[in-house]
Amino acid sequence: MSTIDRRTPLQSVLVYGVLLAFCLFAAFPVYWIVLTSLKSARDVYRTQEILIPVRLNFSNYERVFRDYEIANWIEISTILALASTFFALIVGILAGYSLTHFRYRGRHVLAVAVILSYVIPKGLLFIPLFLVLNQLGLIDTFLGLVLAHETFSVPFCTWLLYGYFKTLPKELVDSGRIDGCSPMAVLTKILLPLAAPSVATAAIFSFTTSWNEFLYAATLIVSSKYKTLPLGIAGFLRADTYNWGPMMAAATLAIIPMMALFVLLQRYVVKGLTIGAVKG
Amino acid sequence: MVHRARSATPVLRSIHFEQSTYGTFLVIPLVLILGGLLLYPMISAVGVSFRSKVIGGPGKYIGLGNYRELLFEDRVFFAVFVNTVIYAVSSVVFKLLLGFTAAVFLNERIVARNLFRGWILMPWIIPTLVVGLMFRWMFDQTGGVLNFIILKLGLMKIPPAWLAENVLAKGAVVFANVWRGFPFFMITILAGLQSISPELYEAAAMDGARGWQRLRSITIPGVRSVVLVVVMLSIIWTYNDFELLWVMTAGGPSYSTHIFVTYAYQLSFLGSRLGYASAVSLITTPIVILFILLLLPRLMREEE
Repeated sequence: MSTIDRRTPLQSVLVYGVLLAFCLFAAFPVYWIVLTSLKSARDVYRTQEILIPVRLNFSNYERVFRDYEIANWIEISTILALASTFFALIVGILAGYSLTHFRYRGRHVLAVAVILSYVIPKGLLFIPLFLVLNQLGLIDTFLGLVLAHETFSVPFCTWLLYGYFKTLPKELVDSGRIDGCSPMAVLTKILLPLAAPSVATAAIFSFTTSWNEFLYAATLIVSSKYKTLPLGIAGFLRADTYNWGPMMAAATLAIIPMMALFVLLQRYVVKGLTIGAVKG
Repeated sequence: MVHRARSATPVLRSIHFEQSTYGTFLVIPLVLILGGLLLYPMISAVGVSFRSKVIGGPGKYIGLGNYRELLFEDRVFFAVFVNTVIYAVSSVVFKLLLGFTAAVFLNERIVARNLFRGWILMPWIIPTLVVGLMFRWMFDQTGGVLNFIILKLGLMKIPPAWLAENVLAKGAVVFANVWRGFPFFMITILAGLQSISPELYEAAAMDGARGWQRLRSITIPGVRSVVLVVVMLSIIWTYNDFELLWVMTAGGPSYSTHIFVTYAYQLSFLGSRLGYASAVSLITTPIVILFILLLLPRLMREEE
């Protein structure tokens, strides 16, 4: 806090002790997923190796790729997350620019609608969305899934970029206009380069939320053709005996890309997390 | 925000007019998505909730029939309502306590703050579905690590079947939700703490304020508005939770962990009663609207 306020050694021990306890609390279940995934079918129910994995065994990973269509699920999830992020970014960038740098009737209402849409929970929207996509014949289609994902990605991306564009001085746009830039050139040449970190935040949020999404996949996808990774993993539960080993191997594969993104881009992830509550 | 200077000269005014049309044009995709994928579906669900619709057929118009059944005949719905309140309130309370504590300690003068912060954020990074499966496995009666520890430490002779007993299952799903959700509280409250000016603490220290007094008179008031926003967002999202509960218990045992969304899902996608399920979801919208109305001024505060 401040130089006036030095901690005694005992207080320092307390501070680091509490933080380490939180770290252990946060990490143990994750460790347990990975450890389970590395146990042979026989060892899964032997919990003796809690802390030190004695025999590492990769047969679960072989099994998920051999006996399940996990490669397919990963492919679907990746393309889905990329596609919905791509469209959400385009919509969000255009709308954020429009709402902050142009004047027209109804733009304030729209800004409020964006926030409302961000807050509306999936649990409230999934049946209505099913009804409408059903009317449109988009159940069990890739397009239907992408559209469903836009319901959370677009509001977040728009809101985040709206918030950022609002902070940019008007003079930037005005000078660009006076130099003869078209409105589109102002956006792509002047505003977007400055907004790159915000765009990155929006993209990461959108990608990870899509990658993790389960409820829409469970309601909109029927056949195995468009099974996403979470939907596929949930399918392990359906067997009579749960295959904890392969399930946790698949779970580990779902976690790894998220962890990698997070480790590389923690700054942006944290920014995306705090934007809702702190910014406004 | 308003380009007042611009309308002063006729030439620039014409640019401005052109820009407005242009701006409307740019916002069309947003309007289509909000209108077509959020507003229209919600409205059409209201229509469906007045029908006895099942999957595959239109059903017939029964007015408030679904709502009447829900409120006066469906015993399960009442249990679901109580469960939802218990689940949301207890989860949010514990998430706030843990998140606040972690944030206060992270805000201390420490080495490797980013490492600690990132590490504790781990539960938030992994897919919720995986969190649910993981806890189902950890709470497993025979192979679960929790019962293994209980046996090893000799705490109980016969460890419980966590997810098969009403009260224990309720506790288990709340625990899982808290584990998954407290980092969000931590990270937002930490951001709030970091926006408190250090001079306040220095002044307080000069006045001889002790740790607890500083917490009460500077820290807590300093993060009050952030906490309010996070709590309200979290209540909305927690009581509309689905994934965690569905894979951990699927609402069981005997409906003890069913909340609105899992119940609506069961009715619609396992029982095909779309009309009735729509009514179950929609009857909770007033709560969402209430919280949104409380939230909006705070979220929009920096407008204009």
